[in-house]
Amino acid sequence: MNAALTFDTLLALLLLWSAWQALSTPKLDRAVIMFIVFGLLLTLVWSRLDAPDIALAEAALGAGLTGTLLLDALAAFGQTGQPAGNTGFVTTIKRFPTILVLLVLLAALLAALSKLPLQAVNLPAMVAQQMPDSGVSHPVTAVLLNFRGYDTLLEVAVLMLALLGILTVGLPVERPLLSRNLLVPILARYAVPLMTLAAIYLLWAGSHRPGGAFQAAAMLAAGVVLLNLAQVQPRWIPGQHWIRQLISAGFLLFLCIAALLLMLNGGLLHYPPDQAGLLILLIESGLTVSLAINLAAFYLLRSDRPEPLPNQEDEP
Amino acid sequence: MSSGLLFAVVGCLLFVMGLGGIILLDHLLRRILAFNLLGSGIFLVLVGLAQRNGRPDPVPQAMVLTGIVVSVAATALALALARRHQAAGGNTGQTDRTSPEERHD
Repeated sequence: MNAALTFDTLLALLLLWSAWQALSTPKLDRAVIMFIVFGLLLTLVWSRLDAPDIALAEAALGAGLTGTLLLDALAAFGQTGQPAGNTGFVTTIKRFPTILVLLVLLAALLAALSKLPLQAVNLPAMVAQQMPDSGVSHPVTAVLLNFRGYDTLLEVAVLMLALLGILTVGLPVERPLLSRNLLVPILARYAVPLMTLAAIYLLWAGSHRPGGAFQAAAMLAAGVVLLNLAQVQPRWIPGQHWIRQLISAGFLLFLCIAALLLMLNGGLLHYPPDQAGLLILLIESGLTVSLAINLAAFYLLRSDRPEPLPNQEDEP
Repeated sequence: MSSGLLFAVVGCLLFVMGLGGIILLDHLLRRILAFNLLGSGIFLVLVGLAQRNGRPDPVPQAMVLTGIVVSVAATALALALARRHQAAGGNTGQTDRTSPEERHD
């Protein structure tokens, strides 16, 4: 066993341990913290798997933004000290069939994993072959914005749908912070300009090295959330129409380019090779702004009205 | 055993752990955590399996990148639903898994 594999095994064990803790630790606040730890360990795993693009997104979104959303919800639930569930003998017996089925599923999955043929299609070679026509030189960006561009198009639509769903379900009411941390504003003052700079760099770097619209947007969204925690940026309310306009602008720009290419070239997102680079940069710039605001809105958008409690009993 | 295959196996374990969490745990927030673990497991299987031979594969990497962003959106929506459920007086499952049948008798 060489050193790299030893490190990977340790990392894998730590990852599984943190995941187990997130599910089984009795206190809910500790579970959320363990989930954030899990996200950070997963970031390391992605970098071990030669996937720096995913590592960047995981650090900013998987661990960062999801963690913030969970902590925010935790405060709203206001239940932190409840046990996860008793481990009494009767409960264990009752859960036994489910656990057995899960173990059988795990065995089946692992058996399937060991029996897979090594390679059905050589995707990396196909990507490498098409790279000269893609307009960029970083393979992941080429796949995201060119070869599988419609995945990305639909993904942006899914993000908008999620926000629409949240608006429909009803936004939580803004509650005042319980304590004010003096370190956060100082941190924000130094970090946010650097984060903005890093986001612009990531957007630009995406064409030839790890980076791109998603990572840049994640960085910008994290910056806005940090400004809110530092009490510089107030929460957003649904009445601020510029939020919706900017969120839809990136998607509409993407859609217009796709429709235009469909009419000119007869293929959705079939870029002409000599303009592909420029078109991708244009789409990515639009997406960066839209995605950043969309992601930040998941955290920042709050209702400006007091909670409309649907208590039917109160009404005559 | 390459590290790609190792992390694919870890992905399988996480998937089953997350699935078990969704079925067996009661608190809504913890179910959302379990759902995220399940998703991360699938991502690991996707990338790990494609990179068993040790060479990076951009196609699953791009898919997972898309997946992470979508899973954040799904988590945000799930949390909004859970909050609404609680605001409407619903039970988020804070009470223990001394399950309903036990409480009735």
